[in-house]
Amino acid sequence: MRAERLTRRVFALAAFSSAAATVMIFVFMAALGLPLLAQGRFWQALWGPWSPMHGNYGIRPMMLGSLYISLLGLVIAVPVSLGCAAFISVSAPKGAARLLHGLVRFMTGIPTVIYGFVGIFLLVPLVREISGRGSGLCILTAALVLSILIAPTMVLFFADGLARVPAAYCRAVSALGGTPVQRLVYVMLPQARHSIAAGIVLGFGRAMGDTMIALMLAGNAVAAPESVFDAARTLTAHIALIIAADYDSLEFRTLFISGMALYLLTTLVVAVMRRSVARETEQR
Amino acid sequence: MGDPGPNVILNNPGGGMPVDDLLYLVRGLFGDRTLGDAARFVEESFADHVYRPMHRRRSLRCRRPCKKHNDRFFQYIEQKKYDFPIGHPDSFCGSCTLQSTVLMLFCKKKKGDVMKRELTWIWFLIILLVPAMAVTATAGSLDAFKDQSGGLKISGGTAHIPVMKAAAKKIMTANPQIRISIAGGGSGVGIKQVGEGLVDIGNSGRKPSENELQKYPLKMHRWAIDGVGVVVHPDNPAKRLTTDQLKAIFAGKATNWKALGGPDKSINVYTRDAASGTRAVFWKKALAKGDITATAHFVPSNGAMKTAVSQDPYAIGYVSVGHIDASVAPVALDGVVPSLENVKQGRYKVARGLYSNTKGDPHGLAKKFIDYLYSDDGQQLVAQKGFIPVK
Repeated sequence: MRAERLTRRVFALAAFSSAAATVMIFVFMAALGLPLLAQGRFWQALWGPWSPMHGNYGIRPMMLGSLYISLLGLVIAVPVSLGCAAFISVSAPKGAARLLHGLVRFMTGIPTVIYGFVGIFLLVPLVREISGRGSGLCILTAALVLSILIAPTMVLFFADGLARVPAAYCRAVSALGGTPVQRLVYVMLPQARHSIAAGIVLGFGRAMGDTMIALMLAGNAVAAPESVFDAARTLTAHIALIIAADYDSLEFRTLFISGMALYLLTTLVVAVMRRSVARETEQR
Repeated sequence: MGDPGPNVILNNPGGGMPVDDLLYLVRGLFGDRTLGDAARFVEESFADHVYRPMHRRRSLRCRRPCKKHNDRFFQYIEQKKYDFPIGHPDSFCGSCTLQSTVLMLFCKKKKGDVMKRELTWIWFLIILLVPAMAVTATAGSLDAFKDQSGGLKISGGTAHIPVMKAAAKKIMTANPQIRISIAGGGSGVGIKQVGEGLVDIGNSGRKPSENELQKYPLKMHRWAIDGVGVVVHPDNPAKRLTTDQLKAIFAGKATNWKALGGPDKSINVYTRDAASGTRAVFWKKALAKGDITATAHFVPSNGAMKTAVSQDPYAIGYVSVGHIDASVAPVALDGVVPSLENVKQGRYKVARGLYSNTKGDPHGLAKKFIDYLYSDDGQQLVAQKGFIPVK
């Protein structure tokens, strides 16, 4: 019995320390970003343009860049992932489904720098020639590669959700004469929507948090992007680029604002997604 | 620990470095078998226990080795000097579980007494010896730092930092008694701080001005030259630019290659992050502190700049001269091609010396540090970090 209690304590401690770490990181960033707030530069830092030469340290272009790239990545990846998951769990022959599932699982483990590297040599010239302007290092390129990065995670979540739909429901549809596609659309997808939402949230989190792909493929320009063929800089890439600046500079200090913005932006979007799923469940 | 006998750590026939102990230990436990064999042995011997199905998992509890095998293990150790017949029926039976065996492999003569200290010791050795050996192999110019101790404070120019860090790392690994701290701040800060005696070495990417030299009795040591060349894609015919054209391009005013003798395509400007020393020289000497357009692409390093420009036929960027190779084409600025030779001769102007300044003649650690920068090793570091060595 004592071992049991001890184990429980260890679990509680683990949960507590991971939660505490998250909160502490936020507090740390807030504390270090505070001097800017006190100087009245906070809003300027949050919403202004970025041109250190003229004394502007705003991160609005980076926030927009982060949002555009990850949302576009999500828009591309969700339909593909959903289709892939549906294929795996509904219409594929058994062998193909297993093969595809294994492949997707393998893909989740590929380091992002490899995608970035391949993107530079294959996708960037293609986008440059097709768009006919710019360098090919742009939001679209980064979003495309990002969608490849986040799709496997989402496929696994979606497929998992579809597989967990009670077999009795599926058999009932078949007994009523429903085709596999009808089964998918009317029973499985609605039943699996929690897994689907979880997959999307996780995919979005990965997309927001990824640094390497944006750093390598998005061009990192500091101007606010106006089209998908414009270069943009994400918050994560911004942090990676500025971190080398010396500690006393204003540039470096605005890093904490960037960190906070990234943190809050991700939390906000995840919270909104979760809330919408929860509300929908209540209504039912 | 006083008892020699089968104490694996103490019993060191070679009597050499501690790493021999480690090798001896591993060989003693597993014969001439490789680690792969050892792993296979553990797996085969205990497959039962490791791969037991879920509902029988509790049998995985850590059990002490059975008396028979425990005794035999030590018999072997005593008689045959660690040549324990792994995989032999004499070794272990099913009731000696995985954990106890692994622990037993590292145990003392006293039955079941786990030699925790030795286990830690082994990890300690591994962690410590591997880098230590790597360092001893490359020592030489570092001999000067033997028997030295104390701190050395360096600040100033950020372009110097890569070389400073690399040199400090080598010195501090060779002699942990020395502590070297490196701060940025910029050339002005470096000169000021060393003049005021706040640091031992103040780096600057320019010669101290007359004014500064009047104020402080500075000695400057130029240990590298940093040249920055404009580069374009090798297919781009626009390989000659004037300073004014360059300024217009980087300010975002000239946006098409056509006017400059290139294809009818928009110019993609690439630049470096703010902490880059390369950017600092380029901005100051080539652009005369002019604007850099906000739509410029940012790349994080000289290498990344090269990759980006070599991949983009309409790109223009700048790299440290040492980095220019066949994948990118250098652009002649006002008729002078950026090459190592032109920089050395002083014909190519977008270049500067990297200076380390001391207050008066350097002495003690500061002298040794600067001597190290001038040594073959130091100059090799200089070249590695993309600068032009002065020797």
